[in-house]
Amino acid sequence: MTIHQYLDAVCAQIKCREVHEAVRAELESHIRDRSEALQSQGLSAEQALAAALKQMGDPADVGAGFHRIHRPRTDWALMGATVALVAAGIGAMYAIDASQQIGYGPKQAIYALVGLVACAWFFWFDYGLIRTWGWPLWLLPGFFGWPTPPPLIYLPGLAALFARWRWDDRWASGKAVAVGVVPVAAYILFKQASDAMSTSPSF
Amino acid sequence: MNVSKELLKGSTVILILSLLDRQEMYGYQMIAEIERTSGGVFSFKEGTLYPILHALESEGYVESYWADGDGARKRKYYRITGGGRGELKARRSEWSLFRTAVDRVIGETHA
Repeated sequence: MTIHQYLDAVCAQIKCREVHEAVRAELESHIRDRSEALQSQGLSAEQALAAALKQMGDPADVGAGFHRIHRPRTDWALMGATVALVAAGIGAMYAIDASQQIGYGPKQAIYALVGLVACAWFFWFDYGLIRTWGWPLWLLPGFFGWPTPPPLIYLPGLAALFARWRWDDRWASGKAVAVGVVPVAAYILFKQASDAMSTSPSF
Repeated sequence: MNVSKELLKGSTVILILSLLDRQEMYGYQMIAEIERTSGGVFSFKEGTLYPILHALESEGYVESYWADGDGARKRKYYRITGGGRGELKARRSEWSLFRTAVDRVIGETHA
């Protein structure tokens, strides 16, 4: 096992990605210190590294320890404020109903419920899973929305692509602009063309 | 002879805070110091030290900062806070209470 494989195995357990870099740097400097100390006792470089990694312990255990401390925090204040505002909205619509009998209340309540369910779904769904589906998600709107898929539905595909984008590649930024701009440009061109056709006067 | 993992688990915090009470240290330094002063009695997986350090930091008992050590390698140093000193004091009196009580029960009174 190399240092990087060890660190990858540790970080695989830590859901909070913001701490990955600091954890890696801290553990790496420890492993290098330890393996240098072992080398000065006469071990070869490979032996020293292997022994140092062994002394670190099971990377999954170490990672689980970090995960317990660096859990992604739930913003309860924001969640409370959202629920309070939604409740106020429903209350307001029922209040209008009480005076005017239009039937806004039940409608508002149903939409609010749908919205909250959607929020809850996004909260619990691990959308990191779509990372492996970047290209299919990016192509999909083109097939189904042909000829004019609205540009916004490319966003999940783009997000998935960019999450695994190899940004250190020389052409990375250029390619990123291409996959981001091409669908939007195509949309605008098709839209203009089809608008021109439908509005062109036919004699 | 080594001390069992379970026995060590309850005392890692007091060990770490005691070390940091004397001096600011980075993780590897703490392990080396524990090894040296305990005569190698405590053998534990070194990686497990770091989640404990992070937990102590999130509880406000220690603070950390990155610095270049003696060599060119970057190291993350930890220092004890006022809150950490208070916690250490509490843990010390708890420890001495625990130690005397255990000694009394197993029949090894010093006094």
